[in-house]
Amino acid sequence: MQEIIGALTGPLTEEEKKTGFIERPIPPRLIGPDTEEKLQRLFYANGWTDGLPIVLPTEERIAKMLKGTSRLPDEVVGKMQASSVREFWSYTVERVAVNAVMAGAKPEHFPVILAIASTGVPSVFTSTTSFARMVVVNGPIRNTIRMNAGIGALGPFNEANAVIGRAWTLLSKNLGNAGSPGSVYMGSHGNNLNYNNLCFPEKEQSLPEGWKPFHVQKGFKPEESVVSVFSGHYLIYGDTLNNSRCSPPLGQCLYHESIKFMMENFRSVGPYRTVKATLLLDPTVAKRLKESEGFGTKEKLQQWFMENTFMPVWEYWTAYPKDFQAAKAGVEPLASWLKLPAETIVPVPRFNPPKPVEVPGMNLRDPISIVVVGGETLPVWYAGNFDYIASASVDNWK
Amino acid sequence: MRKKILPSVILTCLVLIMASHAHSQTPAAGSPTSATGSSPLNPAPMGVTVADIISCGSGYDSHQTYDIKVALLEIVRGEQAWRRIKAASQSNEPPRVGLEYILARIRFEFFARGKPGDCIYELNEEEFTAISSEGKEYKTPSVVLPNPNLRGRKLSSGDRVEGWTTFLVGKDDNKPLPTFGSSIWFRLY
Repeated sequence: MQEIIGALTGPLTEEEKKTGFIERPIPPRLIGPDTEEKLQRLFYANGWTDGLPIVLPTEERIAKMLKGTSRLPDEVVGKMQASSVREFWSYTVERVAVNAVMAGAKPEHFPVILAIASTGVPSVFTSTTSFARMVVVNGPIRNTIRMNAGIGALGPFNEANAVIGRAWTLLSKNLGNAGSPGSVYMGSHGNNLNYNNLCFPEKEQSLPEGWKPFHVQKGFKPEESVVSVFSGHYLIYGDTLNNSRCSPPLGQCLYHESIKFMMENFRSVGPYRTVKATLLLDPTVAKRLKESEGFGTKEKLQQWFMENTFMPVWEYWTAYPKDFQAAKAGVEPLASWLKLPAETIVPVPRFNPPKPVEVPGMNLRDPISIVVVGGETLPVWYAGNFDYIASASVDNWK
Repeated sequence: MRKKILPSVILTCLVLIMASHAHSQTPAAGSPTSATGSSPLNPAPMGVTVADIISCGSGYDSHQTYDIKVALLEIVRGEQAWRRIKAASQSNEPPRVGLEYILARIRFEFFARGKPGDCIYELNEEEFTAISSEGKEYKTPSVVLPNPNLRGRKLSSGDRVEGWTTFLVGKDDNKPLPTFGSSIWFRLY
């Protein structure tokens, strides 16, 4: 404390008295030649990697990567900040190419990586809550670069899925200043998903008739190639084998009821914060929901969850503190809810539908996103607290 | 036996990843931010449109990025600026001793870079500030502005607006630098 007081009340140093503008020194563009082993160590020691070995970004490899786009190397791709209190860093096509090479990407992957970079969303984020990210790829590019939307789509099996997601983290660290634990990155546990950020394509060819691909839901044409980025923390697994609601003696198992049961565990995070969710449905689940349970579109399923997934009364007081005050003041029916056991479910939607824009800066987004992916080996789904952020055209970066 | 170093493992690596990029007040020469108007060391002259990228959104995870184009179209300084400000509202106060008003007419364009592109962006007075020629920030005055007023305008993607904003600068400061968000810089001379 004494040190702080001294610093605040003591005379300014000569350095502190300086006025005007500071020009940041320009670091060298190239590192001198060395052995691969030493260069790998150098990159790791400087915090430029994700801890795994990288492909060293030589001039030759960068030049090859740049052939994956028609954009000029010095063109600005975007701006990124590690959090709202950090400065924005801007970056060019060439700098994204460096990170793409490091991740092991090929030139044909590069437009997808540029599209992700253009969103300005960092994959690693300064918050203490250890955010993860997800990127869903839609459109013809999925097939062109042979991404995997089938068996093991979210696992470590496919080159494009792996390196595109990895490149997002590398560029977030190196171009968005998002990756210095203890100074910029403050996630207490960190998040293993950040290694490749749940990068996968939607299995559009297996969508039930009437179910739109995710990018079409967001206003793109089916023939456009698009990346959509999400923010969250976790995925919860669900299936019909290990689900008590789908086992005898209950007999009938309704998939939408089972999924709702999982989604009721998603908690709001602070006052007036809407809960968000993303469902990753195996095509067999999507087919059953369409054909046997009457959900002819993704939107109908989203609407049903919004209208039928409620919250316990204790959470309602946390999420809506003004209503808690009103209840204490005797306003009905809220006052009666005060007498209910804390776990009693009250008819307040957990996933609020979008409202008209009332506050500048508030985005209109569906609170529930649905993506179809998987190998159709079992009726399974993941439900996660992932919140859709934005989509960007891949075609713009070809 | 002598250790053999294969040519393939002698590598020259680009270190672009750590090159200075970003803060507009500290641009690196040759970097994208050295473009005209992106630095106090290279402010844009009047009439030149400067492009940039900004974030729109609130909270941890809701921001989207937008392209903007900003141009300083006209300035009025000193007594003439005060007369116009006074005419806008009798409640406006004259500048304190040693200071004078600058009225600046600015064009601002706002475009979504992707979808959903539904963020509403409000231009507020904290974003338009002036920095003295010595690098110190002037306090932005809270006054009723002449019409059309730029402050408080709410922009949707595709909007292009023009209007006035104001700065309060030292009378003897010949080269104050108006800036938008410390990322776009203009010169008045």
